[in-house]
Amino acid sequence: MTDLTFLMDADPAGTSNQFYTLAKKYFVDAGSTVVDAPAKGQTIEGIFTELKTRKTAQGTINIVSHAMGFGAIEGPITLADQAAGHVFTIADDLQDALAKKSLAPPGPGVITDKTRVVLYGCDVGRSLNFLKLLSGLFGNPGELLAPRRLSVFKLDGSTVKYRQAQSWTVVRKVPLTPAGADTPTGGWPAYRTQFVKDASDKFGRAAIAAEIDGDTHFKAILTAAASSATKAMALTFFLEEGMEILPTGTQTAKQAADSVKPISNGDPVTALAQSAAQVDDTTVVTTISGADAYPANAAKTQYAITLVLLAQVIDQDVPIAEGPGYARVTSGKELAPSPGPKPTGGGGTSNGGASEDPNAFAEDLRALLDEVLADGASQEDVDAILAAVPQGDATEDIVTDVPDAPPVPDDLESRALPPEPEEVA
Amino acid sequence: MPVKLIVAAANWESKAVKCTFTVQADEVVLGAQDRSKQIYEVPAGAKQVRIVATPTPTPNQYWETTVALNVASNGTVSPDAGFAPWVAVTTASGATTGATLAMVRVSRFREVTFDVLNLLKVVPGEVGKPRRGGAPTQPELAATYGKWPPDDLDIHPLPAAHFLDVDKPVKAGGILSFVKSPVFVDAESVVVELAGGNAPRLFGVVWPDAVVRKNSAAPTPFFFYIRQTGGQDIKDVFVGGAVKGPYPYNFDYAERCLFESQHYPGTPIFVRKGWMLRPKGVPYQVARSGAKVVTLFPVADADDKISYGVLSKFDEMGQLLADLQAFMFWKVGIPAPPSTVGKVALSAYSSANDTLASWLTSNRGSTFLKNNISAVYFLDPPRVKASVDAGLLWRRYISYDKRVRLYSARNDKAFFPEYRHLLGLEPTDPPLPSAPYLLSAADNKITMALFPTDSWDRTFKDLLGINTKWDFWDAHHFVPATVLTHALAQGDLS
Repeated sequence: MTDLTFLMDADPAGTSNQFYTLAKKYFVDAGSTVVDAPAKGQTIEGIFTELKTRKTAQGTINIVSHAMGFGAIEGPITLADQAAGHVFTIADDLQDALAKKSLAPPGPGVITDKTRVVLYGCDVGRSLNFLKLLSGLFGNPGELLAPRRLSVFKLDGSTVKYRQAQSWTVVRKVPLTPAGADTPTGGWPAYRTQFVKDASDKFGRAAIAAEIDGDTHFKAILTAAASSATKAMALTFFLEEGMEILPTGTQTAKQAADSVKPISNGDPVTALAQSAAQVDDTTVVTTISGADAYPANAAKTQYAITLVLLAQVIDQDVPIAEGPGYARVTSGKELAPSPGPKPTGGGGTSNGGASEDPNAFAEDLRALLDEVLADGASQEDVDAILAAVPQGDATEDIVTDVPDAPPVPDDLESRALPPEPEEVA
Repeated sequence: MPVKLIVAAANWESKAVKCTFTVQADEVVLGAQDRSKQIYEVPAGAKQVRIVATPTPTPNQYWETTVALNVASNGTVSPDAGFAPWVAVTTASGATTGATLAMVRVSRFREVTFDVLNLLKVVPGEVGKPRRGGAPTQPELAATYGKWPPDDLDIHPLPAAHFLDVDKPVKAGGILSFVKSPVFVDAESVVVELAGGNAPRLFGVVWPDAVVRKNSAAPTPFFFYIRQTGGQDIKDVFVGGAVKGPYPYNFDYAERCLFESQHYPGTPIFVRKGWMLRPKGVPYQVARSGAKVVTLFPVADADDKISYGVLSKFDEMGQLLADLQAFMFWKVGIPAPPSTVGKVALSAYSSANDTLASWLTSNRGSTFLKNNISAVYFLDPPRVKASVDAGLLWRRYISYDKRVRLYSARNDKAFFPEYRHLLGLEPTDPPLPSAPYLLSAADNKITMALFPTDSWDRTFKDLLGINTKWDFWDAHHFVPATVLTHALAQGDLS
């Protein structure tokens, strides 16, 4: 079945970020059926309406949307939300919609356990809660996948490629560039220097934990990434994400700002980075709150929170599967809970709790296969499993220790160096 | 139907690799049901299983591998998209229960291309000041390659590069003969890291599209470019001066040992911009030679006591190549790599010729040396006699079908007896011609070429119309930057 791709919006006229335009070409070239956004922008309700009219069980449904790691995608849930001025869907919106049943899912004839919903929007895969709620709103498809990193559609010759970008986020109390300007106040060089310093302070601890001299290595990586970055979409670039805080009811703008509860651009990170190069927004979460808000106008009638991201495109294909680039949820109601740990013996050893009895695995495997055989499995299949169990020890013949290499004669014949060293930099 | 999942790990030839396993069903960690923690029960209704195989003890000679499996509603288990080469599934189903073996494939290699590219982004040292030892600065790198840092590690097409005329490398007037043409290297260029912390830790790999990775593929032929040893530079680059980061993850290892060996400044007939930066463009030479071979660039430790480490054991070199071959096949979705590797040619430049000569001698009993290594190329060895002796003894003890090709820039009469020895000339035979020359012997299984400094001056005048006054060290570097086109065009890997 042909993939179905929904664009949640179109690029505004005159913008340099051709996210939706390039995404459309990418999916059209891939043979997907692309559904453009209506003039006012797409909604989840609009997607469901389109799916229902098709009355067919869907395979892969792609959703292309600007998004944020704080758990938000472009496009509100319902047309009523859109009419009320909502632009994004956040986790709270999804929670409300599910609680109030304000939007019926497309139905089991359309969304099945074979249906795969794939999001193409920045960072939103970092919020597992958001993904689970969105999966629930869709009626629990077979799986829902969303990117953990920035999503980039990149023109390479006449071909559009889908890429992800590593990013580092810092919180700012001024916009990246003043209104109408393309350059930060003070110019790009000064901005980059300050950004690298602040980001190094923020992420450096994780880099030190990852490797010796990790902070130095990390700062070098960041300096290089920032060295040519501007707002223009390129291999490295700066990106601004913002949150406008609007007072409700009798609130003042300041009170509205103060009421913003802490929110993070990802779930708590449990896996440490293995190297300084892995230290980024996927391994260090940014949390914002009302304390980060600043007046967005001179009259202080509106407040805002600004985040600036330095991004670096990872120029390699992105596997759409659970991994560093994508998060995946499978939230079907029929899922049974895990049986949890049920050790049957052994345990407590230094080898992760596994038995060190060399015969333990063979004996336990034999017992299991005897059960399966007694249950009617063919002898041929059981023999195939036994034959496929790896034997021997792949490490036993590996050479790890070699004598010192013979000395290289210390004469000028082997040297390709200038005769006199120059002054060191 | 409940599924009992048995997990195991193995290398490319299905030899067991001891691992601890973490098994998740729909992101919930499962508890093992057996003493060795290799049997799990997948809950009814689960849709995906994730297995993390962590080789033990750590550090280990194999990298950790993660795979994902899909579980159908009837309990059938199959690899998730993209994971098929990394896990083999075997199933036996009874009436009410089933057992599935998931054998995770682990490798001694992992890809680190992006990490190495990152290393190239910051040139050590202060802006505007020279680096110690004449090491290249950012302006020098940009002037040489057209831009710096590079966007990627691909081997990009060149519109007009000079290549040694393989059929007639020397023309009248003592001039080297080059052909100017565009060149396209249709290949995947990656960097991989060897597990276990042994040198060489990094390998640049340039895998041509013409060496097709498919089921039932022929054994892969490999060509090593073994650059000069690092100890001679150690006080200025790699670990000295402004360079930060231990072996092999710092700028100099990435730039000197990989990028510089793999790229050209447009053409090898190029007036250098500084002292130390001397690109060799090896993949372009390989492509122009017509040889269908995978080129490897091992990154040695700059400490000469460690240097190329385990490559000094040729049977271990053969094991590494088999593992690398499997990794590169799995990378493109082919689960069954060839069961052996193909022919192998080794080239060594400058001081590394001492290393190669000693390897040929110390590995005389190696099966891999006997069966797989078919050719050695000595690229301007400082101690000519050691290289000639090692090459000729290898042919005598193993097989006269082995190929030895030596390309020199040393026009010192003291070396002439060795050049004659390599060619099998007797004292009564006529003297060698005036340099430059390229001569063959033993049915073209031996090459002796001498391209001295003055021949390069004449060649630059002929090709570019400019007067140069190269010194020996320039000719020393022009040799590896140009002669591999000839060496690899001789059919040594066929």
